[in-house]
Amino acid sequence: MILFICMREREKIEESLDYLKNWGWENIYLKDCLYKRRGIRGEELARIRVVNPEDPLPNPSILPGEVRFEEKRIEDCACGKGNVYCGYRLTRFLAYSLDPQERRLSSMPVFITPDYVATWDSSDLRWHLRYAIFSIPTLVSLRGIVEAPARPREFYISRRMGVDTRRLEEKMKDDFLTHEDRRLSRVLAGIILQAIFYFRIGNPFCEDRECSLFHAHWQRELLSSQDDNPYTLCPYHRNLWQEFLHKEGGIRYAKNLS
Amino acid sequence: MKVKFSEVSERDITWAIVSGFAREFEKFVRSDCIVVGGGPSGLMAARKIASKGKKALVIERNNYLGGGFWIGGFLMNKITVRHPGERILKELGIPFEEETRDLFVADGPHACSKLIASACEAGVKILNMASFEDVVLREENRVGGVVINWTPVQALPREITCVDPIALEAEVVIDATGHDACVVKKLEERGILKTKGFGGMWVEKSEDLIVEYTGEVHPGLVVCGMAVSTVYGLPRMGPTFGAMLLSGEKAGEEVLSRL
Repeated sequence: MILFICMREREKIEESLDYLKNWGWENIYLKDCLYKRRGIRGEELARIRVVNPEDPLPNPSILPGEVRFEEKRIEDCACGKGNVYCGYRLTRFLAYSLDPQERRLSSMPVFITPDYVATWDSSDLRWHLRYAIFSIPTLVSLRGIVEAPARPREFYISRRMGVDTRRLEEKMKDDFLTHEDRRLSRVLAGIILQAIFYFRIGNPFCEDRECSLFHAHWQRELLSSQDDNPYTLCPYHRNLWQEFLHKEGGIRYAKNLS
Repeated sequence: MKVKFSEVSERDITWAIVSGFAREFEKFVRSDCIVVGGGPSGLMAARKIASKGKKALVIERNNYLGGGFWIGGFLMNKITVRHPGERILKELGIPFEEETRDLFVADGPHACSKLIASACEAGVKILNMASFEDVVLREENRVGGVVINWTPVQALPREITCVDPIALEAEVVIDATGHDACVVKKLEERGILKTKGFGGMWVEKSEDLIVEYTGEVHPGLVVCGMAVSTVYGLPRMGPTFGAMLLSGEKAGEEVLSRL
């Protein structure tokens, strides 16, 4: 597996890799951010920035200032400023920046970005933030993990009624993730686990709410599925995991995987 | 206490007003920078430019300066600033308190009056009750100034007040007119560029983006403050002013690098 990571987020990402190693997956190579590759142009990034959450075309006419912004953020390593990008189009042009070896399914390329990624939902005609886009490469959005799955309804109702967001975050800290949350590394490990299943069997998700492969739409679902209690993976996926490990590095059994 | 003011006629007072205004106005018919909008970002930008000895003129359509900086949300006169915006509060000598971690609160009237005073002390000249009407365009549609008129003239029906506006020239114009983005919109009316309208997505980081996107939007035109949000379709913000102050400062730096 090749993880292209933002070096500013390296510490957080490495913590989650400890979980994967603990589960027996040791074949991980870290590489620098994909935006740093030659050929990534500010103009292309500006064109896929989602400007209007209700317009399926992300950014039909770009201004020079937007191109300047994108070029500067790549140069200064200043991602994660709050912009939202079209996830599918981002994966498509990042795929061109991979070399042939990296682009292979068996290489499992995953790009972990601090930016938001979104997909257009034709059922409600809106863009929706996502925590991951499973593709080649797979995109994992660090900010998306915190903000894409919805917080509890009470949070939004209270905020609408004028209750301070910080106070709500403190009061409801067990119910959702925040950006500096210590639980983030475990959740990220579970999402990388989803990516591994995507690359191996084509489906990153599981319907079992306790399995780390559960496709969470709410923060409470995310936190309860990304927990090792009662188990990390459901029995079906645990068996598959053992097979993966066997193929990956000879006979190796999942260490500490409940 | 006995007070006796010196004797002057009405005529002397009128002369003093007219000649004082004319003397100053004459100097600013051509400026280094014209800032349209006297809110927090516009004042910060003008202050920065004037502090380096450059001629900065603020055009403000209202009688008062400061825009929404007098009052926070829901007509309550406390303004909030998120880190690192408190640096500007310190620089301006505005007292503030840390409400929660990295969130600072200051008294609106105190903060606003300090900012206005600081801009004036830096050498910024103000033309209040004057409204922006149009841009002056030069070769290849470069912005070379603004067309203005008195606000009361604009406010009355045209049949009553058929008063032509006047043009002022500048090396650079700054659009600090808030969500209206009046100057940029004039270019849009002519088909020179297209704004995106301010976005509806709410994300924590919107303040960062306002500062990041602050800069030249078209040759001769720099955009700052909430006008940046309208031009680039950035998420709208709540009643917090850190980005306004820092965006204005950045716009000032941008203009200085071009003068």
